[in-house]
Amino acid sequence: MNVTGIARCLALTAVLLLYSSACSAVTHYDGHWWLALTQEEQSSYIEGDADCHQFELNKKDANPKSVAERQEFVSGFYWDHRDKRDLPVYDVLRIVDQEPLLKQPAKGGEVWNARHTFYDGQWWNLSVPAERLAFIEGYLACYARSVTPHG
Amino acid sequence: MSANGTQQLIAAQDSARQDPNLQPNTPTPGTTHCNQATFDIARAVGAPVGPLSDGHGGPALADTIVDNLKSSDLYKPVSSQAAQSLANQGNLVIAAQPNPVGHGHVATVKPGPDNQGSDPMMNNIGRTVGIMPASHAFNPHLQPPFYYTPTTP
Repeated sequence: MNVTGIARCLALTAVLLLYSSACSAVTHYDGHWWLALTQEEQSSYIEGDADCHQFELNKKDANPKSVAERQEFVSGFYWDHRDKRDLPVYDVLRIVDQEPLLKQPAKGGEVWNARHTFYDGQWWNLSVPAERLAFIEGYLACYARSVTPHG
Repeated sequence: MSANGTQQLIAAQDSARQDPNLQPNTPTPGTTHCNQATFDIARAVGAPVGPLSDGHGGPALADTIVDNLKSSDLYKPVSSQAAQSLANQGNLVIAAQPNPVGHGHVATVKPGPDNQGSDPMMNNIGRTVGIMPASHAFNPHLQPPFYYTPTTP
């Protein structure tokens, strides 16, 4: 191999390493990822998913559950089904949607009927960066499932 | 009010903050519970709940609570400085902010020896849950919250 050949080989190796590095940087929103999150991040991810599911995909939840119930179900699912930790969180949340209500929801409270409910600038300012990131990750992971994503 | 009163108030606030039924998006997305939490805390410390009630044993909506407190004989307005001082003595103090174009907000002042000044510390339960200054708990683009304490301690 001459000098040019070695240079080409090194260049190719560098490209492959860079490509490999870039590929490994892609986040898979699956069970492995989920179980490494804090509880606050998990909550925010679910909030982002729910916001997109309701207002971008226009899906109505027949069995509405609280964020805490959803969080518990998703974590329990991944702990109980170690072989399914490659399944995206989005898909596990859709399994949650199909689950019947375990208890009748408590009455009371204020229902925010506006589009995107209370996720406005004040909510954003009150949240911490990790929660904001998780919210957006949940939102975009859901939005990627949109048949005709905008933009 | 006594030290016992302060402990009772703190216990009621802590309990409400940790109540799973009062967390945001419970039972459904887009639901918050500032009204229910304030109602529960007032009842737990023996404060009047009439102005906080919907008349059927449950809490009124926050905007209604704001209006009711304004006209109630059972509560009196206090300044933001007095609000923190009264809470530190174990008195229930409710902060109430009307919102003419959306949801109002109510919360109770959190006692604490380090909590002083004109930006009272709130036991906030709503779209976010936690202990934070009123300047964070309430919408800064609306008029500042009003503070009310029971007329009879």
